[in-house]
Amino acid sequence: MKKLDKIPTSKTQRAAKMLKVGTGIGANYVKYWGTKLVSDKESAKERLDEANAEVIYDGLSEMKGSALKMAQMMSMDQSVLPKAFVEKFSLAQFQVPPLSAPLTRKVLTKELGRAPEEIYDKFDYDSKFAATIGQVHEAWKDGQKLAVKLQYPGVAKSISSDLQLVKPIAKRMFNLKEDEVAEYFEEVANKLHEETDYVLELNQLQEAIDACSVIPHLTFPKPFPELSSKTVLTMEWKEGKHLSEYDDVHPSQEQRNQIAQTLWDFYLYQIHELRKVHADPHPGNFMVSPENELIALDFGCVKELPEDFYTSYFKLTHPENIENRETFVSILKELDVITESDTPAEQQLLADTFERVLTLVNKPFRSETFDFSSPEYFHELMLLGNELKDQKELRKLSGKRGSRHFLYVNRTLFGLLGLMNGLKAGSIDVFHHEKYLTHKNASQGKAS
Amino acid sequence: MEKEKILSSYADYLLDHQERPKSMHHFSQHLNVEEQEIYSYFASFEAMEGSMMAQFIENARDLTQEQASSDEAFADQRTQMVTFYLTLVEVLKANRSLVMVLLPKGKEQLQSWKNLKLARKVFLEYIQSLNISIEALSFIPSDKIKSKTVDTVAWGQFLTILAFWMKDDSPDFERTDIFIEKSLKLSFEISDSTILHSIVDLGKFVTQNEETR
Repeated sequence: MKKLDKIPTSKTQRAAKMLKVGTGIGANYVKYWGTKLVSDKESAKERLDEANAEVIYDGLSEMKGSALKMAQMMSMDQSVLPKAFVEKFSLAQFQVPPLSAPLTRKVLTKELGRAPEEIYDKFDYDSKFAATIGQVHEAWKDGQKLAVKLQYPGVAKSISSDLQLVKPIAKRMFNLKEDEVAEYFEEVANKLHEETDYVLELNQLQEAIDACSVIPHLTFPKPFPELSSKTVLTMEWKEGKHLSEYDDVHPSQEQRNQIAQTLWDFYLYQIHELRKVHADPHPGNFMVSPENELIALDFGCVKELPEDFYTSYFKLTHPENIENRETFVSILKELDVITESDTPAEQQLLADTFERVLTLVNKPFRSETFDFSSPEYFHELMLLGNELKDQKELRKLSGKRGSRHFLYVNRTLFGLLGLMNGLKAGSIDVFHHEKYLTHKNASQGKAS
Repeated sequence: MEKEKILSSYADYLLDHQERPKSMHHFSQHLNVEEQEIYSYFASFEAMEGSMMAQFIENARDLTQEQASSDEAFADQRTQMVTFYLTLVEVLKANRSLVMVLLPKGKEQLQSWKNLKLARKVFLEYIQSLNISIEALSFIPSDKIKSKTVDTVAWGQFLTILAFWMKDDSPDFERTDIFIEKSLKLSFEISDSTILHSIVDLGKFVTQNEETR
């Protein structure tokens, strides 16, 4: 029966799930080698990726907890993972079977102190969206349509045990050592725990509403604190299409550009003005209203940029800092990308690699406008990502590269680039957000 | 003295003393009534305890049916099953100390919960009234055996959930809620599948194979 669902919470049950994922991948590799013998390598690889993505997705989508969140996070980094993985993981955002009506009612009653039918004029027990660690219901009160986000019971507690399970996989994937993993995992664990706190999310949403009012064509769902708790979040219901379905309404190029420009301004404004950024840019977290305005959803994951990290990180957007090798290496040291224990040859390799990556990543900032619809740029990004992944010398270096803040900042930036590309936005005014800034001192390295 | 009054007095006695009275005579003196009066309703302490457990189930059943008739989202039989269990653990929560006295703790004692006899009857009548169709048992030709199988399985699940709840130490017994959701989903999924059929089929084949050797 579809309406019921299990939430695996104990470690053993999750371990069993993980095991299933693992053996599935093994089988796919066997098939890969089989296919490889008879067909060309590229297509066999593509098929392998797709098959693996399927198995991982099936395993993860039933776990519903933070492992799914991890999967989504990995899917953001489009340049690191092959395309098939990304496509499957994006599905993960929408397709999770919902909780039963009785449990939904019980949890809501417990959280809000009264039964849904007493609080709302009408409450629909068929959830409309899955929100990775929760589900979203439609409700009505005083003639207004509301979105009620409900967290799966037991999720918050299962996060730590989930992370312990994902740890060995991540270690192998990124070639990390135990003590190096600790710092990254703490960062991820903190963020995941924050995401289970809907009171925090409500506050972050309200802060964004207040802070971003200067940006036109941008709206947010208004939250209702009196109808919310740590695991229930009631907001205004926003009509619109998710970014992934935006194409369905056949927007004109002008409309696309308006959405893309708004999205771009929203992110750069948050980074440079607020130093606090919505760190979960995937197509499920944005909608477009019928009036063609951008609606930003889900403020569960917000990354704060500490002053020293911000300063060092954005020094890297100035071409002169990259071209001067001595300055470049010293900035990379500030950011822990290069450490004192690296040999001169290793330092050389890292600096060369990062110079290539940064030159490419900074490309949009090299001119006043940038055409994000150009597939060449993104193809180049992906090729570079794949090339670096396969480079033996790089992989041999210890995996922990860069300060912990890189995790969510990179995820945000790559996510943003991915969304911009997905929107097929034409010429975007790269520095448009600057007119909203109150302090321009540390802003982007404008091409001069 | 009324039946209800006797029951609630007995409940109070159990809560105060954490054990049964030494004899029915002691209890009647405690209540200040004739022993005969108690016997007209209950033959033993066990019968009184059984009646309490049955009342918890009736309570949960009535609330579930009320919910089902007032909101169609809760109307179908399987949703009713989930509602029933979630409500039952709420009812039990309100009486947790009493239930802990009524039912000795520990899984090995599941069998010794003899005072659940009446509870079992009330529960199974409710289950039968829901008339849940079970695809997995369709290969059983006899209706009698089929309904006996359903009874056994349903009661087994009831006891498992009860035992889980008694051992649950999570805040608000939240883990029991999840356990209910999980275990009912599993049993519904098994009921919908023909996996049992296949197991029996294989079993038959292997047995026949052994016999013909």
